[in-house]
Amino acid sequence: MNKTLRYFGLCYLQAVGVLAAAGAGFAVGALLETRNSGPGLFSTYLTSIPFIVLLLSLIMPYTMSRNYAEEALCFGAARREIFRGLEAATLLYALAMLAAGKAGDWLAHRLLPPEELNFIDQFTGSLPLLFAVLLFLCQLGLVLGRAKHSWYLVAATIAVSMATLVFLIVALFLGYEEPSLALRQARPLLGTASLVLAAGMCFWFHSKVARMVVRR
Amino acid sequence: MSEGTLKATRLCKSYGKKDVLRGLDLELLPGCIYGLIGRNGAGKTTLLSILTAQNTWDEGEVTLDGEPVWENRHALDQLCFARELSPALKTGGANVLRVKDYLRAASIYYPNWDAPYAERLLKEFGLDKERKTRVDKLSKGMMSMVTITLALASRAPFTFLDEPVAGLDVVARERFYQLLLEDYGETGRTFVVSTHILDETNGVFERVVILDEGKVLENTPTDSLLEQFRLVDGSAEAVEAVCAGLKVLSKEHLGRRLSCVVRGTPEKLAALPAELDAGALNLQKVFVALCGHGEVLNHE
Repeated sequence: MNKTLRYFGLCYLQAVGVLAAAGAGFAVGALLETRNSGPGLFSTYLTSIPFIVLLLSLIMPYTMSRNYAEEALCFGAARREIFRGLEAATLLYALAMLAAGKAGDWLAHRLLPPEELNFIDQFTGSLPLLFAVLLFLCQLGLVLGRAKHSWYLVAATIAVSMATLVFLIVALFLGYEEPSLALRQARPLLGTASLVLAAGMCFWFHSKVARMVVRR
Repeated sequence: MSEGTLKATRLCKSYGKKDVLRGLDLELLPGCIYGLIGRNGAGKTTLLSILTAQNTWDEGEVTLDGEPVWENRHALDQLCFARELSPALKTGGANVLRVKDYLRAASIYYPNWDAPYAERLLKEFGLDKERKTRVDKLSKGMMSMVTITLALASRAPFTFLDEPVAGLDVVARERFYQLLLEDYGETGRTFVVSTHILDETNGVFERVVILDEGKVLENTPTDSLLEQFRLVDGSAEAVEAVCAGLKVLSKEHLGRRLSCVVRGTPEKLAALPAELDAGALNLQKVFVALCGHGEVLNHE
């Protein structure tokens, strides 16, 4: 576990470094822009940060984890260790993304007038964490699991991707700035139900894939 | 340094409908340099990946010192599989790591990792200027050097190298075998080297494992294997007469002369008439005789 976390820390550090540098550059640009000439292009795009973070969180574990997991296997790591280590690393990565999304959100609220804020909602930023883990679990299962189980994991990946899209639409709908009264009242219930459902799926996949990964 | 015996029993592996390993049995002894040879598609890489628990298998068992290697931390710590890196395999992952990060990643996993030795090897191979270069940006030869550095610096009791000299020039290949022997002399660990370039391995492999059609054809000390083969050359009648009691693997007619590759006990081969030219074969020729199924020698 410790070895795998160190290994994935090494691998992810580069990606996180590049993203952090880009994010910092973006934030500095927005600050300078606002200070000199008022809100402009940079500041406006700050409102998109949670959405960009959401996409990155979905894509990065999906592509990177799979390759790094294969390499860890080649370095002689046990599958159980890779699974647990990568799970923890992905979670940390998703948390870092979440923090970045929140920072962008906070900065946008500071810099922009309320009428320019759209699609910014805490709920939108919470989803990456859950779905990054879900997709990672499916991908890792494909890499490390037995070939005969691949059909199941492919089906699961498609199902989870579809579920992600549905949750994403729900999240964006809930995050819209001018919802109807009925929707505003239903927000807590819908939000909680989505989170519970997503967390349940995560847990189910976790236990299912974990068993598959270590079985020969 | 090596602790126990690595053993594969009745190993079967198939990819779809293609059977790659068919009930393979293999025992690798501690403290020995093995040459693993076989034709393309014989199952060498599959076998190495299974012995190191990087690949699954359908039937059979792989044990180290009697314990299964699958998901066994203690066993995995003793195994290193330095697989062939290829510019064509730009799949991401550690291939996109820089050389220094790739070796740092290796140092995390191999408990006996020798960092000063890895540094020395990088300098020796002229890779010290490429530390910040991504592995997938290196030339084929340089990738092989990274593979060799990984294998040697891992100091793993069982170290497997898959085509380590692919892409290396002849000087680098010679140097690799020198380094291998130096390391072996120093540590006494087991090396299993898979290669197609057999001409340059004279005196390196203590034992040779020949894989053919998913099974182990030979797992023998190299010297004793070579002792069993002769290329008998002479007049057709004389050669036919002396080869009657021996296993003939291939025949080649040249006018009234006949050349045969024969296999027999050293005693029988020593009894061949002095007037016949009965020369010893090198490992490459023996391999061709065993696995060429007559298709090369008969057409030379």
